[in-house]
Amino acid sequence: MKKMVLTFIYLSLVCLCSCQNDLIEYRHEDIKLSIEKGEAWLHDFPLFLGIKFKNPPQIAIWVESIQGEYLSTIYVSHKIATQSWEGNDNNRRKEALPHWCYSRGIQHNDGLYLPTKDKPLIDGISGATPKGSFDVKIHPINNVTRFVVKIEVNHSTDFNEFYNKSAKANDENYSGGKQGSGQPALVYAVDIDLSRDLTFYEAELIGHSSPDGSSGSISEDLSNITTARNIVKNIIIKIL
Amino acid sequence: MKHIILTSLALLSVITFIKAEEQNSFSFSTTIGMGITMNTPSYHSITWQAIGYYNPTERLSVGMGTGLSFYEKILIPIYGDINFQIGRERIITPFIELAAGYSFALSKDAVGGCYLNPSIGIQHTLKKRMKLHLALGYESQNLKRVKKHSDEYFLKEFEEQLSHKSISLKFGVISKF
Repeated sequence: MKKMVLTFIYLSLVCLCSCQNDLIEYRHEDIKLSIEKGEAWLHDFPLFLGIKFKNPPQIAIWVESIQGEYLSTIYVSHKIATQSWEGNDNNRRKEALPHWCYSRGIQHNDGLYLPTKDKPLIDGISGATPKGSFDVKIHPINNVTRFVVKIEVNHSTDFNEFYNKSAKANDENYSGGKQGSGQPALVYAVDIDLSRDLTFYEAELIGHSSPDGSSGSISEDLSNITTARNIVKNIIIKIL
Repeated sequence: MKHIILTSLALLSVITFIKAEEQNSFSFSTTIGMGITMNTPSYHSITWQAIGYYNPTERLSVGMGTGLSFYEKILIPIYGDINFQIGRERIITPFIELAAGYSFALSKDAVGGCYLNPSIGIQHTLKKRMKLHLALGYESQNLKRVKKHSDEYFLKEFEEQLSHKSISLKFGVISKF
């Protein structure tokens, strides 16, 4: 009898476990945006006494009109969205994702175009940065058919020979100092036209953001970008 | 992976049951606890747990536990547990404990994940068959949930993968049968 009870408990657990499938269901006309992690997705972030931990990048995904007007944020990583940086010494890290910040265009009392702890981004579009590749589902409403999807990614303290930690404010390669960005954020973009029969798009690297986060401009000169190119392997958009 | 964990837990429970029947050496523990978060996104969890033990020796207890864990979503952990008492039994006896298993989410828009909780603590004898139990440990709990938002242009959905790391504090009682 007791063995029967135990077998029943075990089978119930297996059934319960089997029901825990993928959480997101995709249907016809949904858009699946997939970011595939590259070799540099996880980056050593220094804590203290030489101790480091592997940090995933900060990411923003948003949509603009064909004319370049900001429409909607799709996803933003938790730390920048809630300003919950660790070891930042009150630096709000304007250099983290400046192109998204300026495109969104919401300026706070301190003059920065960043969310604040008091006014973080909406919870439904911010989340813990995944340790690996991940997908986002987008479903257009109100007959939106043509738009540009932009993705901005960046690591903190991702220094290289050009964007080094000893650069001084106002230098071309200054990226926020010792706890700053290092290599600037990279921006990927893809034009989506739902009126065409295309079902597969790939986002292209269009440039890097302002290294010190002082503007929302993009520079097409990628000659000093090294390992940051490998944060993302590819970004695929499928129309289902 | 989940099936391996579940099979191991089922085997452990069968062995515990059979051995306990032979020697009639059961104990039962129930604890409440909290987790002080060490990561972001942060969430201070609250837990209630119940564990049935078999005591093969005076110092060693093995058993199975379950309960409720309150994170962003409510989880039901199912886990195996080993408790080793350090030294002979006194009024206050130190112990080390390891709990490992899998947690299930009750909500449709969430999935649980692996659960791990090594801890150290003390047990204080209250009566012949009852002890107070206080433990300090490290807790790791994985969890996935859906996040949604819509505005005038788009409906957006993504799966957030959370890996909660916390300092766990637990307080409860152990009864011997």
